[in-house]
Amino acid sequence: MPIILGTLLALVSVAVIAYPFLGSKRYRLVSETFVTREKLRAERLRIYRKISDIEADYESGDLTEADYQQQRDQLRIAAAEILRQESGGNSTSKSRDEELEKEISRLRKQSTHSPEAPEGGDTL
Amino acid sequence: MADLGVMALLLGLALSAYSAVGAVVGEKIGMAELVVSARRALYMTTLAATVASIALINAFVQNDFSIEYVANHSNTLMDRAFVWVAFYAGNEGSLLYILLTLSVTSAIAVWFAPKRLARSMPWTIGILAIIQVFYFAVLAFVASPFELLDTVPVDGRGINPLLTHPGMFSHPPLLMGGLIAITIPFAFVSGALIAGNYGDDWIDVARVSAIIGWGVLGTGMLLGAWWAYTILGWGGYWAWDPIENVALMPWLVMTAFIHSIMVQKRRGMFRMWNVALLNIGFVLAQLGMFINRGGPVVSVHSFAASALGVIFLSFMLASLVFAFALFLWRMPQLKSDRAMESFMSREASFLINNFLFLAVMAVTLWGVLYPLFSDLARDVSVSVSAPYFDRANGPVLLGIVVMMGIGPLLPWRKASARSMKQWFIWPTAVGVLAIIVLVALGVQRPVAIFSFGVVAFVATAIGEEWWRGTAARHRAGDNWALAWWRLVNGNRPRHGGYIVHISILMLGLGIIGTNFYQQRTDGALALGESLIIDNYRIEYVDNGDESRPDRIAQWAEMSVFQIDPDDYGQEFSFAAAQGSSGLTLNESRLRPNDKLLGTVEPWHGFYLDFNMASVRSGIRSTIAEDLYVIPRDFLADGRISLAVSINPLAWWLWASGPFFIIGTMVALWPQAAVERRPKRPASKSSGSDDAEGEN
Amino acid sequence: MASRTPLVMTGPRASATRALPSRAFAVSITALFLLVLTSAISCVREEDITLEQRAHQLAGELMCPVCDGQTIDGSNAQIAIDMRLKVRERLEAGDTNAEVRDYFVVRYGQEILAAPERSGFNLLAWIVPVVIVFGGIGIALITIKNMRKSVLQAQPANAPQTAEAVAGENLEKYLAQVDRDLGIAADTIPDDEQETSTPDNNSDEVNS
Repeated sequence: MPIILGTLLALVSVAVIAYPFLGSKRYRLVSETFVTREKLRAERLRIYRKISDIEADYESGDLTEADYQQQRDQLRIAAAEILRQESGGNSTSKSRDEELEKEISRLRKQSTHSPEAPEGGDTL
Repeated sequence: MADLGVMALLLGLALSAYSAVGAVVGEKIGMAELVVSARRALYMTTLAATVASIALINAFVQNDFSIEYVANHSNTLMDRAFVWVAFYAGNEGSLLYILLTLSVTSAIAVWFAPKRLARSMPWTIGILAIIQVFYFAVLAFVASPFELLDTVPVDGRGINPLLTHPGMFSHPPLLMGGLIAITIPFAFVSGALIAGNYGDDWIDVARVSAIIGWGVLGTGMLLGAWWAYTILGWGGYWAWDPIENVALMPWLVMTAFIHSIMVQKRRGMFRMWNVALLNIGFVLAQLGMFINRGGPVVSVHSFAASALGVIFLSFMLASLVFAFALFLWRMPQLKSDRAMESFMSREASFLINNFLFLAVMAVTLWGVLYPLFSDLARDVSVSVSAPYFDRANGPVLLGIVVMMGIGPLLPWRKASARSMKQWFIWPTAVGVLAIIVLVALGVQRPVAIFSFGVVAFVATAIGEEWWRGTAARHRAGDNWALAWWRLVNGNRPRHGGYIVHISILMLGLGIIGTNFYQQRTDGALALGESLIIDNYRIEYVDNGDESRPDRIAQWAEMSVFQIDPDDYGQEFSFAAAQGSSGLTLNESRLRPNDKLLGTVEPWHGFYLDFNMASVRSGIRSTIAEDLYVIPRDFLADGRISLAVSINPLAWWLWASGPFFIIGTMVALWPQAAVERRPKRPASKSSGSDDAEGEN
Repeated sequence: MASRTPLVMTGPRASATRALPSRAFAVSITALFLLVLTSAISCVREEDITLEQRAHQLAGELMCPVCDGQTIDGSNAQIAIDMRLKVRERLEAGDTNAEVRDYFVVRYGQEILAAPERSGFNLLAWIVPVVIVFGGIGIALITIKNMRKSVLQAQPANAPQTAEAVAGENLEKYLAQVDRDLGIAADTIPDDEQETSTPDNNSDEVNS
């Protein structure tokens, strides 16, 4: 009886791992574009989570108004940049940092609020 | 049944080997069918490990003593409940249990792995499968639990008597499971690094799996401490024994990891550091496996020592080389997004706390290895036990608790002088006040008083955090309860962490109380006699026999009275002159106003086959102190020999457990995505690209 | 204390917060640890009152020779019971704690002590932890310091603007999408914050 059970187990295992080769379903490796899109989406959602964390910190008084605005702006812009890439925008990752810097300073100029220059190493 | 077990193990070996090779080769040559097939093979190893485990459990339940392992670890006399768990009472069965846990957790983790990791999954599967190959091979060829005996004995030897305790159902499986679960985040991160995925894509999967393993390991250690306290009669709950230490060390490193991963999550820093921590944690877990399986250090837990040591030492060294090489290879890619801005920032405090955790780990490792070192270096044997670790680790552990109060008060990036003053004034005031009050009350022992002050400081800091956040939300219109709930829900990892911190504080109270203020006395009582310690009188009322063929066992009934020590002043001074802390009295000397509090029933058993005593302590626990009665022996003249102690604040040790578990669950509870819109059609239509994407 | 914590900090004071000199902070943290460490190390348990307590303490410092990794205090083995009696006997005979320890070391070797003695070769066992702890804290502080230095060095790198064409406006519609995702009204881009900042403070923060 144990021998029969063991053999059965082996046969089932072989069937399960052999099926991808024999079955009618065709397989392809997950495409690079799909992975990239998933990564971008995940990164954007992580940024959203950070924004919500920052909001929570701000509401409980852990962040000053200025820090809150600055950090949130940076994150919003980063998220927007990812959205653009997700929808096939032509931004290359190489120019992304400079672009963000510009965008930040543009927003800064637009608003009179610019208590702190974007600090070095603090790029997104 | 042994045949089925052996077949399942061999099948599992073949499947895991195929899975390891198939996943990596399939990815390399771009053959999707092979990758899918290899992943399925990994799922099937779970089935193989499960069948092997069921075969062994079944052999235990059927009392199949033709199997050597069953005959060595059970008999027909033992409680039937323990038959179900006796399969991990020894070496081979423990390994099978570890393999079962590893294969189940591997399968779950791979099944739920996010799609964005598709490129690195073959490597992750490869690493998981290779570790399974190791365990399957060891079980099939070196330490098989299915070895048959030439002559079938009538009855088995029985289970180690120390293991017959309800703790057997929870402590060993949690401890072993927690240790092996560290493999999961390690495999995911290593896979991502090999595949060249340096971003934060692995961060959530690593964090969640690391916290699960960490929580399970922590709960396992706490249950082990409770078990030791209630049954083993060692008089304590933590002995800094090598086996305890090798579980503690990876736990400490994982504690550092789950803190510093938050810095990566929030600030994009410490990437390299986090990878290093996971690597260290994994290697230490392998060290734990090695020392558990017959390492070179003696331990009170050596239920399972054998010659497997060399094999596990080799595997540990191999994993050390692999982890270290991988780290060096990919280190240049693991850059931080940002730089540190200030010493007074949460990220800086996390870094300091990380180094303190690693310092405790390293000191513990040094203590574990020092006897070996001394042996090798100068051929002198030494022992390194509790007194050493208490002295060497105590101050650093206290330092970690201090950081537990400072860290949460510091904001991310940098703190200003103003907010520093604002946030620190109350915790510091309460901490100092606590010290002053304790000194004014005449409490002894400066270190303990300082430690209590630290606990008060940290507790106030957490309270202040909650008060501040709750009050802000309350002003925004929520009622208090809802406001607190929203605060916790708004950032579960953080507030779950605070709940765990509270449990650590409770643990700290227990440790301080029992280490610094324990009172003890020994004595031998005849029926009717009493032992007095501090303000307790313990009267020996009754006893009974509970022997079975395999053991001589007796229990004693003792009444516990609350007394006024002044009533017995004369006797106390007599005892003090003799050098005793407690005193023994017969009935004629008792005072009338003693108040009956209850009874305790210590139990003492001697197991003939094992030549081993096992005791169950009588414990009367209150929130302030435990009265703890260890029955040393029932003497030939009818007296009972007792070791009695008062363990202040011991209750808090065990009360911390639920908080630890709840806090861990809160921190783990998945947060819904912030995105407030229906799923983008782009993601939905992606099905065609996702051709490999069946699990 | 929460009543003194404004939900929203506006006005001049909001950005007028000034970082404490971080060196002072580092020094005070180090001092705190030194205090904790020394207080714990220097405070040897005070001399116990009764002989029995001394016996218990000593029992916790002596290993049981036949039971793996247990002290005689926790063991129920016969030899542990005998050794406990011996400890008591020696103490009653007037031995000091050190003399009792020596008594057992002579008979069983150094292995009988639960912690190595603080002398000779065994001093190593005690020095290494101190090195580890202070080394660890030192490395942590230096790491933080270096990471901060990189802030200063990275600072100029941001200043020169590349000629790369940046279509900032292109981002607008995505920014709006982000705000919709987050459930924020699109007009919350900060432009109404009337903050009078003092630039000096900011340069302070970077240079301190």
